[in-house]
Amino acid sequence: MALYEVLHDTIYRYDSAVLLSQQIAHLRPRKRAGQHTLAHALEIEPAPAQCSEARDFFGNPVTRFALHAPHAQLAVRARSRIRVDAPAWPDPAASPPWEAARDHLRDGLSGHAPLQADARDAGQYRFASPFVALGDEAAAYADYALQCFTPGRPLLAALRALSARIHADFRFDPTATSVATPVAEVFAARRGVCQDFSHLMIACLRALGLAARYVSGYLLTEPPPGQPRLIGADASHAWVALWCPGPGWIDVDPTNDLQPGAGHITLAWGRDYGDVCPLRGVILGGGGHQVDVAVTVMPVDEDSRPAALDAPQ
Amino acid sequence: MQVQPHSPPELLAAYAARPDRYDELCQRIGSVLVLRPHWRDFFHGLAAMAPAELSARRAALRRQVHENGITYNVYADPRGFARPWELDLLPFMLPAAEWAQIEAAVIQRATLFERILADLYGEQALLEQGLIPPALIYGHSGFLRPLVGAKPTGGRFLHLYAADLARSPDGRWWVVADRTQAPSGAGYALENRSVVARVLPELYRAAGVEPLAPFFEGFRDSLADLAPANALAGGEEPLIVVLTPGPYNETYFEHAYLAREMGFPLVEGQDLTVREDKVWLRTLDGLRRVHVILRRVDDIWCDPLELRDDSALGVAGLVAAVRAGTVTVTNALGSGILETGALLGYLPRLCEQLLGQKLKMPSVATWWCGEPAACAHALKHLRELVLKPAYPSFGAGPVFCRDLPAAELDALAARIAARPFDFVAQEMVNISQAPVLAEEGVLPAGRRADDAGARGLVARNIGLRVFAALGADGFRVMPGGLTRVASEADMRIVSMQHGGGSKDAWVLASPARPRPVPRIVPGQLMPSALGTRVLGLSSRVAENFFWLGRYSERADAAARLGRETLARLGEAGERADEDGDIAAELLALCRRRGMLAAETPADGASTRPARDASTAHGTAVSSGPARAAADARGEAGAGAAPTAALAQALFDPALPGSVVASLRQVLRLAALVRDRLSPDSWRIYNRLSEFAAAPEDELRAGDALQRLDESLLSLVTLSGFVIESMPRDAGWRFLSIGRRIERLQFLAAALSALLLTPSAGGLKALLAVTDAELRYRSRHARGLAPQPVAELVMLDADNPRALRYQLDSLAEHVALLPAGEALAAPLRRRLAALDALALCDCFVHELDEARARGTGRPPRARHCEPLREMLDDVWACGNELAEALAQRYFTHLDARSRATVSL
Repeated sequence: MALYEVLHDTIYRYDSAVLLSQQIAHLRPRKRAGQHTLAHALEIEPAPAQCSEARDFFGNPVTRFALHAPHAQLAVRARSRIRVDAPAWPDPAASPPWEAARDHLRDGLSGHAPLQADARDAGQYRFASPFVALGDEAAAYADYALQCFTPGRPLLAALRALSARIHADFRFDPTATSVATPVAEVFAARRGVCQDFSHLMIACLRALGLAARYVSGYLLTEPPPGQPRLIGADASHAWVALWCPGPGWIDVDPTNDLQPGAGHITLAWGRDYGDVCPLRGVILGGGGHQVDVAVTVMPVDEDSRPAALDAPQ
Repeated sequence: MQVQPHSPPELLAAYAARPDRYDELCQRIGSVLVLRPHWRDFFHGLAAMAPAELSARRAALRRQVHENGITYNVYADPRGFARPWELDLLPFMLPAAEWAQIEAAVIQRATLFERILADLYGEQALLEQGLIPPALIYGHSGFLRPLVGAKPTGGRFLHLYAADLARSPDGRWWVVADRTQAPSGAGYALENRSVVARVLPELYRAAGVEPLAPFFEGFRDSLADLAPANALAGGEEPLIVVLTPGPYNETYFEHAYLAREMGFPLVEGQDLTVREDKVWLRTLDGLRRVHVILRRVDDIWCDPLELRDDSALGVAGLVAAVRAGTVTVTNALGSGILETGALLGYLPRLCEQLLGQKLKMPSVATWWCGEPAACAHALKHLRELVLKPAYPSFGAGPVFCRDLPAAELDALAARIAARPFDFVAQEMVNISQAPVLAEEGVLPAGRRADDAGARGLVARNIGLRVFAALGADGFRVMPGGLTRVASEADMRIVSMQHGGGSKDAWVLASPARPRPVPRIVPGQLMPSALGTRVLGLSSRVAENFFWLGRYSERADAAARLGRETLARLGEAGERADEDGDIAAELLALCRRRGMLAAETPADGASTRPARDASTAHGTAVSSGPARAAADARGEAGAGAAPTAALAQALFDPALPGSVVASLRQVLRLAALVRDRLSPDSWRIYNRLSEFAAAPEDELRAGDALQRLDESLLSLVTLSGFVIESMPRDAGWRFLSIGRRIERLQFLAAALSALLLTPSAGGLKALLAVTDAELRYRSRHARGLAPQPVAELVMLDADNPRALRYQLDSLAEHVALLPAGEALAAPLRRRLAALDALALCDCFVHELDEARARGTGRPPRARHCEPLREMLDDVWACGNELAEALAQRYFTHLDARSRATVSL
């Protein structure tokens, strides 16, 4: 079990005044098996004219807010205290053959066979989505994935193999891509960041007829030996979950080629990044803008209050 | 082929009824073809017309289409972006009994779709029970997840529904496609009726046709009932708006037409804003609460915040407002999903389950490949089928597999096998054909054009779009619809976007019921019982009216100045050099107004039209009267070359100040405010379009003069219409302000150029371009003198083309705008300065001096300086006012909403 304090600060600086701003934040961590949010606060500056909490279609908590007065800067600071238990993932070798999972979904979703509620939910994540296009390029993703998804191979073993393959074939390169880089380009260039690798893996799995979702969250990073933890040095992270008949959703992190443990903190999930983007908005005015995001993940003791919360900034 | 009895052979000589298609006009009895009974009266009426008469009727129909400006935008049409609407003279006829069946089937289908939508965005029991395969919904980009669980105000999703019907060879009607998103075509159908009924009045009356207008009146009135009950403050009337993607949408004409006919404001996304989860319209008087949005924007584009974030057409926060139940959007956001062909195969079962009825009208046989058995069938019979995407995708039209080479067919089969969920296979239907009046020259070889004339009928494939609208007592069907006609024989696709035409559809009244009384003006709606709502103009519309006024006046000024300059250039070639100087002054003025290209790089800086500071709309045409002297000096003599150059330049669309360029802006802006223009004024604008085309051949001076005269005549008609017929609302006020600012600046520039060079020729030209010659002569018999000319063109309070009049009128107009008093003050200051100006000081001495020296040409008098300064100041005050108006009242087009995301 681990306890964390997570700080997630987003600051927009605009070239000229923004007259009207409407924002949707996915910054409150969702509840899931093995993870509990003990405290959460969202600070918005300047103070919004309107602010409300709700749940989105995928069950994630969302905060919607709007600013009506002209402003040249918008700061959104999320503070969360979260308890995470390391999940116990099932034995990959004991999972069903991957074709069984595919056929189960196909038959249920096409109305050919009765579909259980869990599989119906999984069906939401089986098809193309705005950031995961699956037109004719889908054949190439399927070919790539089939190297790992050999006939009859247990689903979760194949999943781990695909994670290893992506990790080996692709280079982590924050300069190579942007938020809007399509999967096809990442696939061709063989480089990108966690968001790109997650989208690519999702594309591969869906091209095979499997259900895969995008998980947005944080990852505990260890500072270099002998150095103190730097505030804001971390970043938000993303990984993938695959649906397996029986145990349900199984997480895998292709960027680090591992199965998430107590160091992975889940924020939200959806079909792709677009469903769970931490802060998305529409502004009127503003000219150009610059955005700075600072994330800090700090392990804390059960009773302590970390310095950063006592004196923010 | 022979048609009996009594068929005038020449009308049907080229008409081929085919055994493999149902023919709407004829039926085969034994070995002969006879007219179907419901066509007989109409057909004989038509046959009784002389060929010349028929040609005249068709010409009248085309004129009406042109004058009403009915257009359909086709993106790659060689005939231009806004294509004239194609309408056939002959209606499509349906007998009452047959119509009753269609009507019942369409109502049943609309009701069924309403129930399906309510389930998909509610409990989703249909997915749970497998009555609709979940994949069909989950894989569809039109399944709008943010709307799941949102109950529409009033509880209904579907308010306007359309079905595309076609008839198979056995005479049965089939549904080919469903329109549940924002069905288009109803407005075109109404307009078709108004044109055809006017062109064939006797046949229309004799046939006893069910009128269309009551359907629209019912729909309009039912929209008022959709306003959220809790949203209306005591006694407040609901505000209903029509949301359009804008003039580049292919059916923009219809959006504007319906908005005008039903009396609702036509708005674009940027006109609306969401505050506190409520929708507001930006108007000159501030924000006004919107209660109902009749949308013509596809749902995924309606909200960049929660739907597609790259949409510039939507309203950020609209989804939240819908969820909060503060606004009714119709059809409901998310209803587009039912347009997928993949659903068709499941409808019979759904109808039995949800309505407990058998589906009254079958859909064309359809296999959704996501279902394994259907996929196997489709792959086996691929060659006979039409393939369509199951989920909307760009540029993916139907594929007629029969036309594919073997290799491509195999490739298609492989794609279907790899991604079965993505494909729908449909049976190919041989749809029915109906008669259309042939174009001259398309009759079969061997027939001479003169004996064909307009008399020949030919057969074309048709499809019928039928509309149902929700009223207080359920769905009502429009009696008729939009009949679409293939453009060529054997053309498989019947669609306007593919170059097809249209027909009016006549549903004949049942003989058992009293005949419908024809409306005096078919196709025109009765006023709403609600009465017209007095509503502030939206900021965008105000700005468009302002620029419409400016460009109309700019075109007028350019035509007058061009006419005078051409005339002077002609005279200057033969006569005294004073005319040569005046011609040079006039050319310089033309150049400063962007009517002529800059001649030398040296004066390029002063002649290049500057961008108006105020707005993205316009270009300023003058850099101020102070430049006059400098430009005039740079101008070399006269002669034939400048005449020819000017004659070309006046109609060169590339020159920002040319007559043609200004007229094009006028037409563009008129199209933008079209919903607020009466049909009569629209016809005047339409006539102007003849002069907005660049001439094909090089124009001689004489031709150019005639063209200028004709353009001016239309412009004057237009301004007369503005004075006589336009209601004195805010739109009229902004139009008038635009005109007055433009005229003010033109006068300041012309006075500066022509009055301050006191020569008889200059004064004469000044009187000519300000249309004041007659008035001057009636007042001053003694000949031209600077002071009386200045009095008439500058100070005369009664002359609507005098400088003072513009200032006066502008001050009056802006003072009446909301909080406009502050804008009037600078204008009043200029008025006072004008009145205080001692004209006699400027001119009297000057002429005396000139006479005294006997040179005939005085040097540029220093006495004129106060006058010159004042004219400069007046010119500048026009710009200041335009900028102030833009800041205070107009939408800032450069401040469009943008989406932002963060990691």
